[in-house]
Amino acid sequence: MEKISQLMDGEFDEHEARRQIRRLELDASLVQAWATYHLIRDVLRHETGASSDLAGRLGQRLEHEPTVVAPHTRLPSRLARYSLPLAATVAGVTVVGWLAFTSQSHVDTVRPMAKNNPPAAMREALRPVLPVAALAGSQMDDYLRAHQEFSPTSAMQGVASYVRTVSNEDWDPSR
Amino acid sequence: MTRVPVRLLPSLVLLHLWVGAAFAETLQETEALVWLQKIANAARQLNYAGTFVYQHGDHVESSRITHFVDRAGECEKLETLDGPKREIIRTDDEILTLDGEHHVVKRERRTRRNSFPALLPDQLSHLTEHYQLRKGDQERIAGYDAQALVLEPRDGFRYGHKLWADVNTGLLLKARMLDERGHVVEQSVFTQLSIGSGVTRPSFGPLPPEWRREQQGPDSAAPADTGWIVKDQPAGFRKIIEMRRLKAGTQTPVAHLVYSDGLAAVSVFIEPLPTTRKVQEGLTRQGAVNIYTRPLPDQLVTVLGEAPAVTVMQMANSVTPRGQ
Repeated sequence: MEKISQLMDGEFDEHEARRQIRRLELDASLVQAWATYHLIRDVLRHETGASSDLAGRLGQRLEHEPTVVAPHTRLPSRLARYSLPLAATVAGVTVVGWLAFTSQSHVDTVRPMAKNNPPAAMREALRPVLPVAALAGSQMDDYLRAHQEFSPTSAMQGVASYVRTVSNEDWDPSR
Repeated sequence: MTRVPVRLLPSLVLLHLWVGAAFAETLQETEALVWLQKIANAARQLNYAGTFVYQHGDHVESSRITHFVDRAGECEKLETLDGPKREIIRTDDEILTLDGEHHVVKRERRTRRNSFPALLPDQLSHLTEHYQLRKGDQERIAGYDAQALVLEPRDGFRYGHKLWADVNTGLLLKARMLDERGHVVEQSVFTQLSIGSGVTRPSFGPLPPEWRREQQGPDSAAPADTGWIVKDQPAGFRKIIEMRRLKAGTQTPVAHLVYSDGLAAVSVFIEPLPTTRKVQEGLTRQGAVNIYTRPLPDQLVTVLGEAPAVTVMQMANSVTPRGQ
């Protein structure tokens, strides 16, 4: 397990990291540990946002929940008397909880966008203006090939990613 | 049985739900990460051959690709099926390019292939900071059952990805890159594909002797401290390698720095300012790759990557000699 946390922190060299990821693929319990560590990390990061808001909103929603009526039961014990309505309540809360959490996590992912995004005006101004040939033509293919050796996106596509350098498209500057 | 004080129950229930939901989301991400690794491995470890269609903007063309691996190593080939014939053969130690339009055969050495993993593990673990990962539906592509994966960027400095991988082998069957408005920037999809037996080592046909041969010397790219840095790259882009290479067919040294957020990569090239031609500052693109060129007093900076123009430009504008 300690290895997994080191893996997450990027403390391994390349060879060892690959070995650990292979272990991860083979062992469900390690995958779970991996997931748990991410959870812990996420919780630490989003602590204030997630816990306080969620509790408050859940509370509000719960006030408007209908009272759950316990079904008739022949179980005599005190435990059963409390546990059945409790179970029913939990089921009700679960639905609300999931709804609340889903919207909460949505808010969490949107928030950094608002903070980090480039200004819209700037993005609009960034339309390609020059034909590839104006920027050194065939040399750009050399650069593209050199780039693709190190791009994870290209790695997943294999040699198919080279299609950009062999594309026979005639550049249309109006696009 | 220990009785839990009733007043604590609501908090316990909340805690349970919250942890449960967060856990489910994390599990989704973990599963998606495992899939990504599977896709990267499949691309290198399987024998496959097929036809695929590549589309960006209103441009569509089809190509044939073959990937073959045995004890001698990997060998893969891409050949265009539309327009002038162009072929690329890539082995563990070289890339051969056949340009049927200009009658040129180019040979480039490559040395780093085997020591550089497809996806960097420490970067993979940071991927979820910048993308929201989840599994999509299962769909049928080129006759194979495919699992969809969705990678949604958490900011505007990277593209979104949707990937479809063969359920059994993990081979990437279809890939789509999306901009922030959800428009397709580029996509490629197999229309016909065979995996496994029957695939043989690819080769060029006989080459006409009158075609020009261009060769790049061995070890033209070597890790090095280039003395250059990018001061202001968007969050999540870390430098993964820095090297010097020689410009194809010349003795001109070029600094090459690669930054990646685990999925997208941006390359920075710095070379002496050419004296033979006038260099324009500007932005262009080739498929999903944005390219920005910016002349400095004595140097020419070229930044390119499968990332939005704003990312490429921001990096190009903050290239500086270290220590300044």
